[in-house]
Amino acid sequence: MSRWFQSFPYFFKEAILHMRESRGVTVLTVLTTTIGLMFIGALWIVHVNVAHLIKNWRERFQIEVYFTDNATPFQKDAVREVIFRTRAVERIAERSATQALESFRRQLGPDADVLNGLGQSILPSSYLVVLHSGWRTVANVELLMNKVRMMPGVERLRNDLAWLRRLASVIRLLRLTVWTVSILLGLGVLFIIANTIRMTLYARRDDIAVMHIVGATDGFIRTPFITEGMLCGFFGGIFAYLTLLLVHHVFFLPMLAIYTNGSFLVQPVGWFLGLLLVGTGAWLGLAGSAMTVSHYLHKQRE
Amino acid sequence: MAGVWKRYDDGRFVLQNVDLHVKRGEFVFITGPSGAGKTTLLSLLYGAEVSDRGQVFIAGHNITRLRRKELPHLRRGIGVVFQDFKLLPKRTVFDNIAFCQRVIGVPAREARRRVYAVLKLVKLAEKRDLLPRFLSGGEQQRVAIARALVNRPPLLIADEPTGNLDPKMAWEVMDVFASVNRLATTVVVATHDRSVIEYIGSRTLSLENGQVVRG
Repeated sequence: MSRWFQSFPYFFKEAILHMRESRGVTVLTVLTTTIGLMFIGALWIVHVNVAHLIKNWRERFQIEVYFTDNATPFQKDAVREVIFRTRAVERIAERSATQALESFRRQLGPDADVLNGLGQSILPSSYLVVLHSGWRTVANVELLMNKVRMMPGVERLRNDLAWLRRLASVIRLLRLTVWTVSILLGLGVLFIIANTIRMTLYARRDDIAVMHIVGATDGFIRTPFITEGMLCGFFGGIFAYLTLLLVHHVFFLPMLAIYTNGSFLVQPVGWFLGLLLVGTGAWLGLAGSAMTVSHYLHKQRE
Repeated sequence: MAGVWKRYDDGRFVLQNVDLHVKRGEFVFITGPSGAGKTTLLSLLYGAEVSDRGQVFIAGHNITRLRRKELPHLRRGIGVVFQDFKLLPKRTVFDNIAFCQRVIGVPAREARRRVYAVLKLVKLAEKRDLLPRFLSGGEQQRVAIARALVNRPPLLIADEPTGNLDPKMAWEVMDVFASVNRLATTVVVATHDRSVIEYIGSRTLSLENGQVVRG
């Protein structure tokens, strides 16, 4: 291993030399890698923002438990106890019939007069159940509702379960799309880098033959080519990140401010995206080149 | 080498029951017409080919039983010279030789010292910065010899090293082999050039149709 570290400057120099010798192919590879990674980055930004938006919507999610007119305080307490036994519950707010009517009046605004003379208990009293942010799932809501629905004093339950289900499907679909497209784009980048390394190997076949004759190990022969592949992916990642950063700050944010009047906030393109793109690029370069060099050396042995 | 058989994919035998014993420090010629199996025999010595039957021993190690990853270490103890030199055209004379040192992890300063020493031995020190295409055939072959010798191998193998050279250059190259041999390096040269064999006058093994007919 220490010999490998000693030789690393040589590997790096050789990789740069290969890249300079086949400048055109290298530029094309880095450019294609940049485009591929840029799309992956853009998809990731879309995914993060949609997920953030959905998370915000979920924050507003709550279950309402309406009681019958003749529900006793004892029955209400029993319901409260059952609800609180569920770990998913963050808090319960009680709303009396009078508070419900007041709230309804506020909603009606100038038309609130229509409620005059109807009495104070036309609307049922209720519990407003708020779930912990991490527990607002369809399964938890269903579980809670099944426990409470048949309890004495409970008239009906209201919730946004259908809406939550739709949200969950949207997230699943979005995630699936992002992963599928990203994997396909990643495979494209991998094969482009693998092909570039194949061309370099072909151009360097005499060097490789001499290296074998003088006793170079496969690892020693392989490393400069793998370094070259990694560098292509690495630079592709950097350029993709810089391009996305530029598009985000110079075009996207000003346009968003104009068209949404600043009411729509976008998650920023942060350093994590940079790390993700550079890391993915370098890894794809490594995998593509390692695959090609190993295949080439294996063929040489046959 | 004991009872070695080698057959190519078309079923034709290239070597048939070949026995060969070369003593440490010996100079041996392998001769015979084209297609006699000289190159294959040498390829078996440095592990480029594997025999179908029989055993090949180098300095007591049975290389027919060598694992793939042990082969590079064997080759570091064997210098190989080819008829077509196999120099790297985009590297200078110095780099062509230093490259072999780098491959086996010799530190840069030590590598430089060894390359200068071996360039002096083949009388090419002043041409160290030239690319191979600016050298004559004989000079290119001497660079190839320098490359083969720089790792100080105990065994030097040469496959038709004078095949592309005129007689004067051929004798120059053979003089280098002879001087290396005097430094206790075992030398095995495959050639069909009788004048070269007579010039050195060492033990000669003749191959015909893959069989040893004299030696």
